[in-house]
Amino acid sequence: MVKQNGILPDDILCSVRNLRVQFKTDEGIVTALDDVSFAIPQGKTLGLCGESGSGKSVSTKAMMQLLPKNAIIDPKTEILFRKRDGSVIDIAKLSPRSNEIREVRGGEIGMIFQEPMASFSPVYTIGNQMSETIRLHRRFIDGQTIGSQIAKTAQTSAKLSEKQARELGIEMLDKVGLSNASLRFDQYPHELSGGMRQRAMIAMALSTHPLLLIADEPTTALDVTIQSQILDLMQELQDELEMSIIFITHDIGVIAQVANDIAVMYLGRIIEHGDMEDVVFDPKHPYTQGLIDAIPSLDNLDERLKAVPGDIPGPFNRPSGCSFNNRCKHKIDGLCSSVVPQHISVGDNHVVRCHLFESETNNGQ
Amino acid sequence: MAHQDIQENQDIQSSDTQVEKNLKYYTASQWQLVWWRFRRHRMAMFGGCVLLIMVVMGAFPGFFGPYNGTTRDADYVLGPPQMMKFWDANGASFRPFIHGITTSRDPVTLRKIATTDPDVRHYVHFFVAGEEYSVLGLFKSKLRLFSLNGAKIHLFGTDDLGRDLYSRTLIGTGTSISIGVIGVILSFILALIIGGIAGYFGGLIDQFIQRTTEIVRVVPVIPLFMGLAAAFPKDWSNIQVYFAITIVLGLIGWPTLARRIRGHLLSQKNEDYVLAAKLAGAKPARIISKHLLPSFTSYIIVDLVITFPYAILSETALSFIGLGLRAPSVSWGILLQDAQNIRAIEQAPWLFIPALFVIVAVLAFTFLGDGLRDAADPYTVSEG
Amino acid sequence: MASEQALINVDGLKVYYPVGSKGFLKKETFYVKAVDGLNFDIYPGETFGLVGESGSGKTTVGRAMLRAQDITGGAVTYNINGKKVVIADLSEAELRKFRQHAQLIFQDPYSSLNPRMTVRDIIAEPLEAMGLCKTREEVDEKVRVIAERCKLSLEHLRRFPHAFSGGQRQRICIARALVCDPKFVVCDESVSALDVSIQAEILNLLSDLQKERGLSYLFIAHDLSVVAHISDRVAVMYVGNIVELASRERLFLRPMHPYTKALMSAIPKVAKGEVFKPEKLDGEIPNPANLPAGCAFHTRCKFARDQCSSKTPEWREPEPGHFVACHFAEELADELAAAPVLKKRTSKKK
Repeated sequence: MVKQNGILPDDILCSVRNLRVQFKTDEGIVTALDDVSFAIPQGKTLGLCGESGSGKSVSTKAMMQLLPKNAIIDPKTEILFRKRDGSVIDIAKLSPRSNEIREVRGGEIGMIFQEPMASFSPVYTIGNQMSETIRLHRRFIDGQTIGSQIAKTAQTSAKLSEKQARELGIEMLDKVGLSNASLRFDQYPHELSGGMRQRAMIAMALSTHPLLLIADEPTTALDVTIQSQILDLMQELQDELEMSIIFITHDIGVIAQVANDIAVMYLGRIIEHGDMEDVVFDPKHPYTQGLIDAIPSLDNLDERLKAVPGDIPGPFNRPSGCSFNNRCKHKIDGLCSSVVPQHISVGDNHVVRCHLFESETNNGQ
Repeated sequence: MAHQDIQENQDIQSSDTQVEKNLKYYTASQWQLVWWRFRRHRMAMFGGCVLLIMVVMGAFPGFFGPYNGTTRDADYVLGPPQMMKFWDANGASFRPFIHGITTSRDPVTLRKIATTDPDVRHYVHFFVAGEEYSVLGLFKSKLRLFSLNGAKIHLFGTDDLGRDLYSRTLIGTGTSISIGVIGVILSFILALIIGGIAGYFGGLIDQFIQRTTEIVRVVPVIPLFMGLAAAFPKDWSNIQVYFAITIVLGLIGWPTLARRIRGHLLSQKNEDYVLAAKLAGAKPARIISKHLLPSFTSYIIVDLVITFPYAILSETALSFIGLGLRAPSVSWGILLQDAQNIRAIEQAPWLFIPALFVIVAVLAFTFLGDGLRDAADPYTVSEG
Repeated sequence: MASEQALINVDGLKVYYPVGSKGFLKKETFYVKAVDGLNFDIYPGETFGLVGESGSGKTTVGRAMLRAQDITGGAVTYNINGKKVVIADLSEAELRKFRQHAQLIFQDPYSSLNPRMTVRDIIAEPLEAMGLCKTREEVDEKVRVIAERCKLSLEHLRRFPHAFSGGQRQRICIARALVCDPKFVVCDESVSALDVSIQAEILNLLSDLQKERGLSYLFIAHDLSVVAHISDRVAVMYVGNIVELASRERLFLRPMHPYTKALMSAIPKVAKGEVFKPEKLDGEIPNPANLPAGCAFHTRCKFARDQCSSKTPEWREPEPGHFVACHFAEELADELAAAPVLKKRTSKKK
């Protein structure tokens, strides 16, 4: 995972480096993210896994410059993104209210959320909201609507008409498996069930054929039988549209199913990062191990559940040194509570931030 | 967004500097949290201080003002405000003074004209005995904050009967604010009972109360007051009229508050912790007093503070058009009656000073209410 | 296990909500049948797991059993200290007194604690509201004992809920539910809102408390693995009905109802060595106001036959202690057990 300043390797769609976000609150300055770096390869899925306070949602919101006004992004942060036309921009340098970021949001990067009811306005129909998105980002060139092909060069183009947007919208709703798509297009969000709304939200996010989809806990609020449908759907669409996905969840089972790479976050830092199989089956960091051990499964019904001791500290009580040290049973006295661990490579594409793995060869990588 | 994540760590490994702060925060009751948040609102604190000053001065107008409300200064009729000075052409002085007045009569209009004599000084004395007045109607005193020996001082000038506007304004402050406050408290008690019953029991009772509320709200205020003013017996003393006005204001003001209380109750009634209390075997009385009422007390206080200005303005307006209090009572409205003509604007603009007091009071209440509303629910932090 | 020994006997429990009516004079009323005729028993010291998706009615069952929700039909009978108590027959005052025997732990640890009361007062509420103790010292003592057991220190008792994290608040809720020594506790999705690392701790605590005090739990959840860990017997609900009820081992090793099998297969799991792809179940959960005719599950069931769309399946007991509502339970049992729950996923490395 070698990344260079300002340069994006060809197979990487987006690279986040040194992401550091603080919030100004009445009680003081809170560090939400501390030196987070990750890369999203083209056409692959990165799973961001973490519990409350880990900062996973904040990272993706930072990527879209959607943080609240009291957020401070460190100037050394770099968020490199390769746009549809091939140019590479640094999102961290864009102003949250600029036109450039508005083009990126929705058009190049799509986002779906946990609570589909909250992301649709209850007073407009689904179709109305989808048309709005479509007409904002998709163009009409040479008598052909840019649909299934990702238009790499869209120069002068006309905005789509209502009718064209409607056709595209219905096509998209159909693609996500909503029966009776033309009927659904004119319905209000409350008329659909949770699973259907989530599909509609996916349809809306994907109607602009974004290059990157950020999915923030998309299935957490859904029933488990619907969840499996939605996960399948997302994978099919990813294959068809050659899209990259950042999938945020706290559920390791889900992430194991959808992700190629996994980054495990704890209190604003990525403490382990690697291929899905490596992280899930050979976790190195004590927190990752604890997390996986704590999952109840049907295979260990008679055993007592192994909890991770202690509670997740609040943002004002961030432990010094390694943020996990006060709950870690492998803690090295003197070291873990004072020195922040570096990124240490423990395998091919497997990196962990833990003092347990320090040795002369690995130090300083 | 960081507010959502403020969870406290009970483990021992937190830095010592945070431990003290955290402990205070953990054990802080609702009111302490409200106060801490309120303190950060500068405008609200400022408004609160201004109101405090007004209330204190209005409660003890005899002390803060040099004269009683009916005392006339025949030598200084319709005279402009007099400023206390610390120096003049003759030198400086620690003790403030005003220049002497000589009165003469204009030969043409036969009006008395007061001219200042820059060579005569009358020094202002503090904490002196002046005219006798009644403190809060309980006992008599002569102690005044400041007064002059011999001469008279009129900080806001005088009206056409020579009465000191400053003293009268202070008396009026006390009257207007107290009428407003008592009227609102009356409304509030009515609203609490009526709105509370409607909100807690719901169903038909609620429907019935709602319709009654709407009917009361529909009654137009000015014709009502005209009728009432006509109905007040002419021989009623000023105190009686005072209380009658207060009661009437209270009876008219409850619908708005009742609706808000009902709304608060409806929103809290279905909260999980109320159900938890029911499942703990709590009787309705306990649920209402221990769980529901405290949940919106802070909102109610905000509602009250925001309603006070309306009551004060109502009284002012009514007295201004002659339907409320009458002379010799003093209130802001009555004072402003004197400013109701062209002569006041042309020749005696200082008669509008009470209007400034009205504006300042209303603004102060508004800022205070804003700050309280923002601080009111320390639990608007939504978690999870 | 004879019914006489049961702590609670639920017989034909129905909870219907009227929604709208047809006809000018409102002759016909439509109902949402949230719970439509359930029969089961809960025994002392057992954890009865109730699992289902949205619209299954599981939360309504929990509330109805405590009479926090009105019961439209059927009976819930408690067997307390040798006396039978039909909860629907109690007067308001008797019901309030009865609450000491049956408590509820809510799902949301944030909204179920009164933010304006100290932790000590919150935990003491059942004792004080029902007048179970004679002196304040007695109350304080009981509060201390249960708080310590739930790993809350004396220092914590002075604090207000806003000072605590989700897991700690849930412990306060547990302390509150247990302070009056109930025999029966409904855990309504009590761990669903917690992080995974905290969830395990709370489940362990609940399990330990049960063993120490001989409590019975009705453990309601949508997560089958969580229910599986803590329950002795598990009932699976689907839009208002229990479709299968059996001991934990029986249910997971040899399910008889296609929906149970589908639920188990839908869980994305991480097992030793391989990652498994969940089996898809097509279709949507039916709207409880507009259920399919016959078996409510037939629209999504891959084993459905003609009978399923016209005749409602009976609640039967094909094997001792194993109840199911499916016409073809015995035939399917073998088929369901044979088909692997877990299918290998093709490697994602491209």
